[in-house]
Amino acid sequence: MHPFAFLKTDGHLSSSVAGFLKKLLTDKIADAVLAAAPTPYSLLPMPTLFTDPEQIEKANPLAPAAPFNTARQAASILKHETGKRIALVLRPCEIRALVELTKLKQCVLENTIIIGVKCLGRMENAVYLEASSQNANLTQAFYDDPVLQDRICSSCAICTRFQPVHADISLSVIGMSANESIGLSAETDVGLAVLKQLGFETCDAPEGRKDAVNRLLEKRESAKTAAFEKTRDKTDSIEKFQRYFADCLNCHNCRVACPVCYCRECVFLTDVFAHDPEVLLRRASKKGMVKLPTDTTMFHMTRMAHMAHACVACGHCSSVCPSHIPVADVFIRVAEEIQNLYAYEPGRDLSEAIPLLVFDEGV
Amino acid sequence: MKYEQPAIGVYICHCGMNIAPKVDVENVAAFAAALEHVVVARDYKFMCSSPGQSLIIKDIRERGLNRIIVASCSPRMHEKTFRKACEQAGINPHYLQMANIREQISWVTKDSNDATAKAKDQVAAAVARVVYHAPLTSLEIPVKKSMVVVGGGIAGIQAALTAAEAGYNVHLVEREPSIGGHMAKFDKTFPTLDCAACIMTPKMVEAAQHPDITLHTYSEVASVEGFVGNFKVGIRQKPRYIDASKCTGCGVCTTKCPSKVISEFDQGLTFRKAIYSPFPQAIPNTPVIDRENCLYFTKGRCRACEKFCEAHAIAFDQKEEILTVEAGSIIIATGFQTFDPTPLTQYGYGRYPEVYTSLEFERINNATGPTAGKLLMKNGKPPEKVAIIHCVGSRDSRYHAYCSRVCCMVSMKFAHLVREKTNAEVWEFYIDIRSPGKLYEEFYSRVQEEGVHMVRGRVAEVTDIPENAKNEGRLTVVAENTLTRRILRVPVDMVLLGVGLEPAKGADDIGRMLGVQRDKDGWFNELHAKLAPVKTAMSGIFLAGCCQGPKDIPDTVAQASAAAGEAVSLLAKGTVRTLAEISYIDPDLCSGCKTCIEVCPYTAIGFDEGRRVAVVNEALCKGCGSCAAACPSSAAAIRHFSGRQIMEEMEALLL
Repeated sequence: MHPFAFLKTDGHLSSSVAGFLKKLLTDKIADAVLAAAPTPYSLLPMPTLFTDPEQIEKANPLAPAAPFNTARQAASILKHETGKRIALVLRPCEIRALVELTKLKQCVLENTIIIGVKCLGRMENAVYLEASSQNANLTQAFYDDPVLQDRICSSCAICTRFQPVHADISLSVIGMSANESIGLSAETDVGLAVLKQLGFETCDAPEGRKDAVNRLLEKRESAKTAAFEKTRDKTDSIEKFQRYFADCLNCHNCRVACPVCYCRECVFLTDVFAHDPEVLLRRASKKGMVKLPTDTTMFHMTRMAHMAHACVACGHCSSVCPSHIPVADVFIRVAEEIQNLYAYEPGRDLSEAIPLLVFDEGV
Repeated sequence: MKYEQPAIGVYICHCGMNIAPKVDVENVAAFAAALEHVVVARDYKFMCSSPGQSLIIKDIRERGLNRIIVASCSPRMHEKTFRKACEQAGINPHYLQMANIREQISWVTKDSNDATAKAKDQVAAAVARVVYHAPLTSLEIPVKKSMVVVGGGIAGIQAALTAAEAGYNVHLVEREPSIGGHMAKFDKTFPTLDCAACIMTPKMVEAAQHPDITLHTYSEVASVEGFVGNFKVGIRQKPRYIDASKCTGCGVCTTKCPSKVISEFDQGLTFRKAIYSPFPQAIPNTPVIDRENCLYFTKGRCRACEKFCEAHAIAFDQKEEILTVEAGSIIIATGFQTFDPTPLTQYGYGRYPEVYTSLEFERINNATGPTAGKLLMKNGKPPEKVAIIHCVGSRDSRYHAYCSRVCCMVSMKFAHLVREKTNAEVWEFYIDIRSPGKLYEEFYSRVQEEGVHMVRGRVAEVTDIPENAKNEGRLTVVAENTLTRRILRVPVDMVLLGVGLEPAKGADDIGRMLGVQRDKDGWFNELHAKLAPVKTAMSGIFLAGCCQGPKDIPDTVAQASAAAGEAVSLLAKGTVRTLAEISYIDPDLCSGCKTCIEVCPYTAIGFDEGRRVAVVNEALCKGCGSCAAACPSSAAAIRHFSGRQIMEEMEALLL
């Protein structure tokens, strides 16, 4: 059992968490903190890099919204060693993606304090904005109100990996009364040292949290099974697959949003797919017509081949689709099958080699 | 990318009766003529013949063709031929594409109409692809005129001498204090019964004295960098604690050393000192101090050797040194070790003092061995009855499934030596006798004529429980004679185990450093079992002797000479040509994830830390395509197999 501490909220969840992050800066434990915060122009929380303790009071990392999977932004800060110690507040799927990006040499995880959120899910941006226009204190309300919790996006609703792995400290809201206090669990030596430096008394975790986690896990498992079943029915032939992606505009938003699509330039932007007019005319002449742009199925299949082992199930590909194609439903389902096949879990362990790099002759 | 307007010539080969009767070649040629960019399409009886090639050359020159399709056999057969023809006519050889309508179509398709339709698809695919071909060239790289031979047994010595005689500098690396390897331990050699030392030591001396051979004994290969023609080999010289330039090899130090250590050279049957030369004819004859057993190193006192050394050659402060040498090629000659029969508990090795391995028995027979060459048991008496067991650890799926090739002859040599030196009866237990070498079968007959009992049957057990009181204190060998179908219980005084051969310890490290693959048993893989038996998949690295598989001395020497010949042929030319169809990594596309570096089997990809991109070493790359397959952004691509070329080919085939 990890050492545990209580962070008193006394009815002010957001400002208590912000206060905790502020102390990281004032006590010089971190040089900078990456956490979600609303901008002056919108309530939508954007990943924000804080160095000023006064500014960080605006941070609201528990807000049930996330326009990005922040792993991309985190990786850009951690691209190489800067000598600065950076604390990052991330959701479990964001940490998983960050670990995968580290394996792919896109960033270095030295000198960081990763604060993971035990995550109840995020709402789609529009849903969040609408809900917060009706409730000034939506973050607090979200953790008190199961009805609000049911408004999370479809990928989060089937997420079973809502507890952070590879975090130094995890922020726990599950099974706690968020308006009284939330939990801080030190999951590594680094995390424990930070809690001690901040003057927290550690104790054993309170009873009942595990039950709450297990109840949530059960609910999510059955939701996932049902969703997978539905998706399989819709995609189990090439004909159905093409119908599924029929409204795709080839905008490649899903690729841009994907935290583990890491290529500097996508192969679909290279010469390989920049067809000459002769090729397009030849394609047209074979069947008398050709839909443009071409290579829609090829794009999704290729992205699946490239990413299935690393998919962290964050669901952002669905969230950004202008044609509202449930891209993530099919990706998450296929990814789980592929990952089971290789007994690989993205983000589980930095030292776990990417399946492509393991040569095993088998027996 | 299109470099110029393509003008394509298509040539459909009849291949005599191989293609034409099944594929309607005229129809395919007519089909091809109508394809885009095709200027001329013909069919001809034998495209690979001189007139066939001339047809292509003439069309290129007269019709201005810049792309050529030959639809015929597999490119493995004649791609080179047609590339040469293109070159001769003045266009880049990589503007050729072959469509395989023989192996992939005419030979394997029943219906003639189907075959013709398939051939059309193949030709259309080749035409679509060749439009996107690029002119490729390769680099000529100078070659260093020296080589490294790893292992100083008979294979390494032979290879080193052959290459040195041709005038090349050879660095011969041996991990033991002396060169000589296993052969230096043997007494007689089959089938001619030459004294091993008598034929081995002159070679050793010759190697030591050769002006073009540098011996690195008590040394190991520590690192290998570079590529064919330009290797850099790091050699770790272990400290001998003796200044070789001062040592006269008088041996006083060894006499005065008070420590007694079990002798590895004599297979543990005698003792040596902590400062020692492994055997009297050792080369170099500079002794080494065995640090682990030296009183000065372990307890901080003694220094007797230092006191008595008149040459002041003892150097306790000597340190390990790493020497880097350049080499155009490398020969692996790491040899073998013998199978340890301890796990075969039914033979009692290690439990019964009179059960010996073949290497131990070599030492017993050897004039410099524990009994000065007399065939005696541990009690000092000669044996009256000796059993020899074949295939110990070989032809046994639990240990080594392969035949170790030498043990039959070694065992029969032992039978002969026992008969010659004593009056003892000899019983040989074999599975099959394998004696396929020159004069080997004759030797087998000779041993039989000498009265050796040959029993066909694998020994079930060697036991010290005697059949009757008369045989108290002796061993009993239990076996079925499978020819007479009788169980035999033979009381004997001595049992010799014909142990199998296995790859030398450390061969795995050498393989890893050099990037040379080993087979499931650990032997190094040759490039081709028949046609390239001493080459490896790594250009510039060759194999000699038992490191490639069990061999006797004649085969080892022959193979070592061959390896030296291949190495010399590479060095003599002075340059090597890189392959043209190799990987290229586009630095503008590379994300620096290093995936390609991990999957490259030839360690041909390095990393530019400044630009944070992967870079291909053109001399090392074999164009296998692993990097291209692994790279998601297709930053890594194989020239001549680019994404674009393959896409076009596939489209023409599938759409």
